[in-house]
This record gives sequence, C-alpha cells and structure tokens, in this order.
Amino acid sequence: MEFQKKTLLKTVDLTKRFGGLVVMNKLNMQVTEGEVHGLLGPNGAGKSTFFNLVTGVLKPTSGKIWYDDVMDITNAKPHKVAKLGIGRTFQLNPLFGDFTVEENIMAAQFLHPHSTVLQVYFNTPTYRKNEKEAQKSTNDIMEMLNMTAIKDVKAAALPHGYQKLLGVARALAVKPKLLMLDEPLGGMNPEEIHFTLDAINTMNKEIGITILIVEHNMQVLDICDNVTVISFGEKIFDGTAEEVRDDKTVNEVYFGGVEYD
Amino acid sequence: MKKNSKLLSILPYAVILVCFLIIPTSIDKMFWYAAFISILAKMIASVGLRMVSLGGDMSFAMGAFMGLGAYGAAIMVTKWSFPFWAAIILAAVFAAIVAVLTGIPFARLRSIYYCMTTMFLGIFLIYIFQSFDWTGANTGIKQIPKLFGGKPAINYWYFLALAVVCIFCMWRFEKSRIGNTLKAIAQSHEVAASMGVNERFYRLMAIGVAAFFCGVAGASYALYYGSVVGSTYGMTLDLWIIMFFMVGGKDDFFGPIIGAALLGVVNEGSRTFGSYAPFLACAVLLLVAYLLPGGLASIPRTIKKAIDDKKMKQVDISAFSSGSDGKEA
Amino acid sequence: MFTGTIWLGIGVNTLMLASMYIMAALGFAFIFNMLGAINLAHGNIYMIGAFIAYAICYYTGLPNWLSILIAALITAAFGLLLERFAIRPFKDDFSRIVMVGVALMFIFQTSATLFTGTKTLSIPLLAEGTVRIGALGISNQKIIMFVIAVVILAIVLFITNKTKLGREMKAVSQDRLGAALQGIPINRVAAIVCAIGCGIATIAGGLMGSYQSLSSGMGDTITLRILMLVMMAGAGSMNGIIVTGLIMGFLDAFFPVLLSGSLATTVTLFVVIVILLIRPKGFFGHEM
Repeated sequence: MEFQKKTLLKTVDLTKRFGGLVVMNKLNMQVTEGEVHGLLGPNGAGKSTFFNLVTGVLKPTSGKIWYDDVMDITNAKPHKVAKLGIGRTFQLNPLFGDFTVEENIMAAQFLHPHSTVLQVYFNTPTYRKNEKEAQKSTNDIMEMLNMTAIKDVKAAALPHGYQKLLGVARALAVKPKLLMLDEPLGGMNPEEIHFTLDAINTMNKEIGITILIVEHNMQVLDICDNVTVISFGEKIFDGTAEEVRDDKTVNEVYFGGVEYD
Repeated sequence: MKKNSKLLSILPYAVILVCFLIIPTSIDKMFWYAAFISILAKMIASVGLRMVSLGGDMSFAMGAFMGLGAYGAAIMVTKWSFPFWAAIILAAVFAAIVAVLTGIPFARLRSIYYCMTTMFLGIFLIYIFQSFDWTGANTGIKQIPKLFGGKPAINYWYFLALAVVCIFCMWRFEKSRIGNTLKAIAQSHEVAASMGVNERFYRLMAIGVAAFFCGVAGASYALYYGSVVGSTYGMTLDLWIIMFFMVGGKDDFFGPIIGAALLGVVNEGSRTFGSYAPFLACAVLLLVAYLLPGGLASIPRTIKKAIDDKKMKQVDISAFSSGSDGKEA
Repeated sequence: MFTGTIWLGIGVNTLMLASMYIMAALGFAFIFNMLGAINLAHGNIYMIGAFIAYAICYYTGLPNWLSILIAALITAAFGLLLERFAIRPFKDDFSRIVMVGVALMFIFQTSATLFTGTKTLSIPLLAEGTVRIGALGISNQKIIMFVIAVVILAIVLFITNKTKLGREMKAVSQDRLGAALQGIPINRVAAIVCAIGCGIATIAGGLMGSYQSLSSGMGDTITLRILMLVMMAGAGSMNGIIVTGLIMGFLDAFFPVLLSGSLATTVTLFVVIVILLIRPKGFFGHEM
C-alpha cells in the first residue's frame, strides 16, 4: 500500500456568481481516492452550490474541476458526469415515488450494465444477460443496506430515514468511484443517524468507494478522514477530522463569534 | 398465480380486439367500417400520445403529426407517384423527423407551457400546408388514388392489422426498460440525470416514436379516404386525441385504447342524431371527469385496491419491524 | 411601400383587436394566474355571449347595447356556476379540467351551430358612419368599441390594483397556500373573478359580433388568441396581458396587410412560437 494515492476530485479556483452575489469564491479543495471526505459549513455556506457545480447542474463562473487527476469536467452535463463515475444523492431526496424500493434501485442500474436502446427494444440476449446482472446487483445492494424486507413497498410510503437510505442505495447502483452525499443526515433522528453513518462506513471500508459528504451536522466527523470547512463561499479550514475539532476559526463560525456586518 | 395475473392483464386487450372483429362485420357494414377505420387511426395516435406522456409532458400536437403523415403520403402518391407502402413509411419518417427537430428547442419548455406551445406548433404545422397552392391551400389535396381500390372491407382489415402491429410495437416500447427510464425522468429529471440518463435524448426518442406511428396512421387514413383537407387535422383533432387519452386514463397503457374505443364508438355512433351528435360524447366526457378521476382503465384497479387495502397494511408493518431488527443487530 | 395611411390603419386595427383580445382573455388569465387552471371553455363564452346578445336583440327588440349588457349579466351568472362546478372540483388535476373544458367547448359550439343553421347572423351596428383622417376612414363602430374597451380595462385595472379584491387576487396568484392561511376566501374570490371575466368576455364578443358576423367558429379563433397571449404574458402576471394583447393585436393587424389569409396566420403563429421558445415562461411569468 505504498502507492501514491490518486486525487479523485480537485477544484481549482472554483468560483460561482449569481449576478453580483458571490456564492463560491476561489475554492480549492481535493478529495483523495479511498477516503471519506467531509465538506462542512453552516447553512448558506455554498455547500449545495458546490455539489451542483461538480455534478454539472450549474456551470461555474470561473475555475476548473478535475476528475481522476486528468479529466476536465468543468462544463460536463449531469448525465456525462454520472457516466464518469460520480454518484450523488439529493438534499431534498426526490425519489421515484411511484416505483417500489426494488424498482427504484433497478431504474438506477442504467449505466452498469448498459444496454443500448435497440438491444432493449428487441430484447436481445445481451440485454437479458445485463438485466439479470442488474437484478443481482440490486439484490446485493438491498442486502447490504438491510432493505430486502421492504423491497415491494412504494418509495413514497417509506418513513423518512428509509427514504434517505434509498437515495444512497440508488446512488450506489450507479457504481460510482466517487459518491457524493448531500446532507445524508438531514431531518433524521439519532437512531437513524447511527445506522446511516454505519452504512456509509461499510461502503467506504468494504467496497472501497470514495465518499464526499456535505453536512452541517458535526456528527459526521466520526467517520471522516479529512475535512474541508467553508463559510460564505470561502474555505476556512482544510485538514484531518481530529484537527478540525480544535480549530479556532471553525468553532467561531459554528458556535458564534463571527461578525455579520 | 403469476400465470393467472398475466392472463388477466391480456384479457381486456382480447375483449377489445374481439369487439373490433365482430361489430363492424355484423351490422350496417358500410357505416361501421368507415367509423371504425377512423377510430382505429385515432387510437394509434392516442397510444402515441401516451408514449410522449411517459416522459412527463403532454403534447397537444399529435393530430398535426397525423396531418404531416397524411399530407406527406398524399403528396408522394399524387405528385411523385410513389407506391403506397413506400409513401406511408416515408411520410411517417417525415413526421418523426419534423417531430424530433421541433422537439429540440421545445425541450426548454415545461408543464403547461409545453402543452400549450405544442398546440400552437400543431396548428402552425397544418397552417403551413394550408398556406401554399402547391399543397392545395384551403381545399387540400383531392383525388388521391385510394388504398386497395377504396374497398371498405379490405381497408378495415388493413387498419385493424395496422393498429394491432403499431400498438404492439408501442407496448414493447413502454414495457421495456426504455419506458421505465422515461417514467423515471417524468418523476424527477434531476435524479434521472444523476444516474447517467440522457434526459433530452430519451424524451426526443419518445416523441419521435409517437410521431412515427401517428404518421403511419395519418398517411394510411389519407390514402384510404382519398383526400386531405388541412382543417381536419387542426385543433379539434388534437383535442379529440387528448380526450381519448384522458377518458381512458393516463396511468395505464390500456387507457388510450379503451378511451378511443368507447368515446370513438359513442361519437361515431351518434352521427345518426345529426347536428346533435357531439352532445353524447360530451356527456361521456363530463361523466368520466366527475365520476372516474383515473379514467376508464382505472376501474379494475380501484376495485382491486379497495379489496387489498387491509391486507397490504399488515404486510407493510411487519416488513418495517423486521427491517429495523436487522439493522440493530 | 407602406404609406403613412397604411401604418395609421394598422395602428387603429391593432388597438381595436388588442382591446377585444384583452377583454376576452381577462377571465381566462385571472383563473390561470390564481389557480393555475386552464379553462378551455372560456373562449367559447365569448362566442356564446355574442349569440345570447343577438337572441335578446332579435326576439325582444331591445336596443343592441342593452342586449349586450343583459347577455353579459347572464354569462356572469353562468361564470359563477362554471367556477363552482367546472373549475373548483378539479383545480389541481390538469387532465380533468381539460376534459371538462373541452366538453363545454364542444357543447357551446354545437349549440351555436344548431342555432345558426345556414343563416348569417349579426348584431346591428352600434354606430353608423365613419370619421376621416386624411385618406383613412375609421368607422365609428371601431371607435366606440375601443372607447368601451378602454373604459372597461381602466375599471379592471383599478379593481386589480387598488381594491381589496385585487389585493386578494394578487396574493392568491403569488402563493395559494399562503393566501389561504391568511384567511383569504380563495373560492369566493375565484368565483367573483370568473364571473367578471365571463361578463367582460361577453361584452367583447357582443362588440365583435356587431362589427363582424356571428359564427360558431369565432370561439375557436378567440380561444387560440387567448391562449397565445396568456402564455406569452406568463403565469402570475396580471398586467402583462395588456402588453402581450397589444403584440397579438399588432400581429393580427399587420400580417394580413402583407400576406394572404392563411399565410398571415401561419406567420403569426410562428412569431408567437419563437417568442415562447425564447422566453419559455412568457414575458412576465414565474415558475409554475
């Protein structure tokens, strides 16, 4: 294990303005392969903007986003970004409410294995093989996240914690190298937080997915290796999870002391 | 159990098909042949509309795509003396190409703006044909050599076969993963994109497929009827196709089929009342709107749900408790 | 190529058509803005209102202006029923509201066709004679139509901008739930607005019916115009339809001078579609 670890995601001077409002100012950060990276910040710090910039929903005003050391994904479309191996969940977690849990995960098995439209339409052997593979991987994901028992329940009827977890399961089905979780703990009770953190840890340690968590809940520090903290679109801290607890600026931002003028 | 439910799901299609086999051949043949040919053509178009609606937005331009097929075939047969089969296929391809090309800028529009602007588009496309003398201006194209010599019986069997083939092709489209992907896009296009789905490509494909089958139906109808007049394919036809789709129910593949069959038969059958005819069809529309929120195809579903409700609830509860046990362990 | 006289003529026609379109569209636009519901039958109320005015005028011998006024009151009462039975139950269900709208549309059209038969009907002119400006003659009828429209629009603008009803309408169109929580009786406001809209549409229909002849097809024509100008204005804008109404009026006054019948409509439709593609939510609209 003495290889130089790859930088999976790297932003260079990433800036986003909406009219005159600067929501992200020259952000430089990087996510190394294999780690759990936390992107923390209070509400309105620009965390969701960062997410949307990386996944191609928004276009940056200036700056670059590099993926896997060499690939420039600054202006890529959302579905292209997904194709490259960046999976994501959503803060407000829009599920396919009409689909069951199983159908939700099956629908997400769109790229891996991918069948072309003609293969699908004419039900070719390749397609049938792919579909079997997708079914198997769906079963694996459901098993890993303890969802097999509720596979036939409509997503809209699930309790909140399970809906969030289903969002993660669906992002996993994209078979990402980098999984980006947008506020995975939002609106959860302590028990749900506990099992979600467990699930994230399992994904990182057992499957080896690199994870980027965006949160304002400091509890994620328990599972993070490295942490970046932003406030009002500016980076105020970059370091390990242990260091962040003692950092003065971060404490100021989180627990008051910051001056709003 | 599984085999049973599969049989049950085929049953309604079989019933409709048998009705279409028996009714026109048993009573007043000339009248019902003509009526059913028109119903079948519109049925294909309203199933086509369902293909578009899978992606989340309803197009109000389906009648115009039929019109494109009709005009295309009429021009090819009268002016360039193409054989029938080539004219029908090429006209349908023409309709599909126009639909996809116009669909590219239209992807910017959403919800009600999409519906209304496609309606303007439909009227616009037909008005183009009505504006130039070469395409017959307001009087349309007349004296097209008729399909199968204009014999009603053969034409009827042709249209019935055509409808079965077209609807089967679209059924495959919906029931395959393509249909599922479109349904996913309809529920949340952001999430679909995050899974790697090229949303725009899929929606354009749906509208292309729909327009192709509308084109086939329109082209065949023009050649059967022997003339094309632009006003036939205007706003009224668009609205009728949408009514077939909505009366049948928009949550079910069977919806537009039963809608077109019932409303079409009511509409054509009431021709005997002369100018009062549309009242009966409007009564059906109002009844369905007030009494059946999910359309005709939702009747068995509503009944089944009422029966299953209690049982389902128990299953859900037990599923959750075992799930949480697993995660605590 | 265009002389001053032609431009002046186009200008006069623009104002006249725009004022009629705006009056016909008001009711539709109010309901669309407030409830997000499209009432496809509205254009045909304009048509049926004109027929009612004709019938009153023809059978009772009342003067034409009084007939139009009575017809407006009748359709306004009908508007209350329309809101109660065709819009309120289906507010959030697009497909059912379209179904009911289309059913009413066909019912009105069929009734009108049955009434007309093969005759050509027309409400007597409100005013004879013409005013001459240089080489251009403007009929008094057009002037009267425009004056009536301006007066009515001024009243409507006053209601929407200055009165309690107007403030309630604005609140509902911005946030229906919020307005309901504030205690605004949405249903009652919608019913009043629908009634006013139907009445004004009937006045427009009656005026057009005395300027041109009556036909059951005039409902379809105006429905298309209403949809185009309301979509161009966008959801949630009360004053926007005046601007888009002028655009619509200009397109319908300008192109027929240049091009023959169908081609003029084609070009008009094309312009509207392009505008909507450039501004997908209309000029003044917000997200629905």
